[in-house]
Amino acid sequence: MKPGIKSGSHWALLIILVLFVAGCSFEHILKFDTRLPLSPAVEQIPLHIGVYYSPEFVEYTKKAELIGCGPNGRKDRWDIFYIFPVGTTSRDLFDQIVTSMFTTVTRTSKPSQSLNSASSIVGLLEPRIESFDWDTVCSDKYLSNGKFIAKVRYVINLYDSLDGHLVASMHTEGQHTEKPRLCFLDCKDSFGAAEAIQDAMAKFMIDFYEQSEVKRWLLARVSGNHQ
Amino acid sequence: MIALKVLTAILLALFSLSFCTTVHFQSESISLGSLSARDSIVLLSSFESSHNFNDDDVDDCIRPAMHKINPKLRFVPAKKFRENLYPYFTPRTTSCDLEGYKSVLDTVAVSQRIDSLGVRYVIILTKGGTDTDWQGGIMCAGGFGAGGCFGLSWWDRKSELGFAIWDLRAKSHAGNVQSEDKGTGIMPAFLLPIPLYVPATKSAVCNELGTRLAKLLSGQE
Repeated sequence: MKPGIKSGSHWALLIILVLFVAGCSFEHILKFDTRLPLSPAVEQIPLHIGVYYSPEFVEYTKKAELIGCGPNGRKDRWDIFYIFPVGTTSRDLFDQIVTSMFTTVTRTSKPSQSLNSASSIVGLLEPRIESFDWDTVCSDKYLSNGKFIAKVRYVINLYDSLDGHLVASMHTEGQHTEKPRLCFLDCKDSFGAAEAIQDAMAKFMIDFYEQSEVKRWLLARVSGNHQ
Repeated sequence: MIALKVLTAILLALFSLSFCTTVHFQSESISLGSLSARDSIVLLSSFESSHNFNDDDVDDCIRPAMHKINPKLRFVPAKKFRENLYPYFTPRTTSCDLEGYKSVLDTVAVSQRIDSLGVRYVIILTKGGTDTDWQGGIMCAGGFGAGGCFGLSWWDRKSELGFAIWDLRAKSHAGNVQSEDKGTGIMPAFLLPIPLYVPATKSAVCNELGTRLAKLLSGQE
């Protein structure tokens, strides 16, 4: 046995091969972590923010088929499907980045909870997933090689807690291209999805401070907090 | 017999031509300060080039040649650098102009992390790719119990790579380097197609750029 290859992987490979030859399809729910090993390099804003994740957001998954590359860029279907848990992985990363952006963050179970005047929460962030796509791009050479491409789009709404009005609606998207790797049952690989999610969130963090509506709102809220 | 001699002569001519490739190197406005023992370098790909050349490819491309010229050069892995500087310096959020760099480097959290990593120079891919143009032709045929290919194919391959060097301490663009190499590969087919020569243009360009960059950073050029 080659070093680094577990015996379980051989069995998994064999099972998949048998299923493939038998014309069966194979489905695998991917398990991957989008959280960052370090806290993001941003300065915290001294505000108490609420975060609301709708059930549609948390439960968002995407089933995508693994495509192989044949001669001259031909796309071959393999009947192998991956299920990407986009909602839960996006929530894990969003929790981490919002905690790094604001001094106090509270997760709310209802959007109205943070818009209660008795609460010290000054604003509410609500991320929504607009789309997630995962595909294989094949080169058009005779000996074609492929790459996985993952794309994700979010819209992140910021509401003011005083009157509940929408302060800003920020669109952000992430993309990542990755060379194919074989990965089976005990696999932690996201095939580029985790990096695409991290890319989108990085764009959001940088753009958040640049949005004129957000800048005005932050200035008013931070100065209001100091008075 | 004459046909064989003519074919051999053509092959020899093409074969010698293919070895006549030279690597072209260009650099512009390079102004590098001397590296202290604590200073490190980071090698990064760019978002535009990441389809063909990711961070690992950039590292594999130029770091071996840089290390060969100056084994004392210190490198911080791209992954570690990007993780420390998130949300800045991801493939998409890396600045590509001086104003962008200055604005990011003025952020307290960013400058603290760069100081703790000891990164002085970021060498980032600005263009990279290899184009191949096939010419000639090989025909293959098979029949009852026999088959084979006949013909001659050759391909022109051109590899081009460019890097920008950013000085994070001086908050300045230290310069650009780029290199290109062209070569011709030959594949005759007598029954079986066998490539006689495959031009290693990409590795030649990588080696040239790595060597020059190491010399520039070590004050040898």
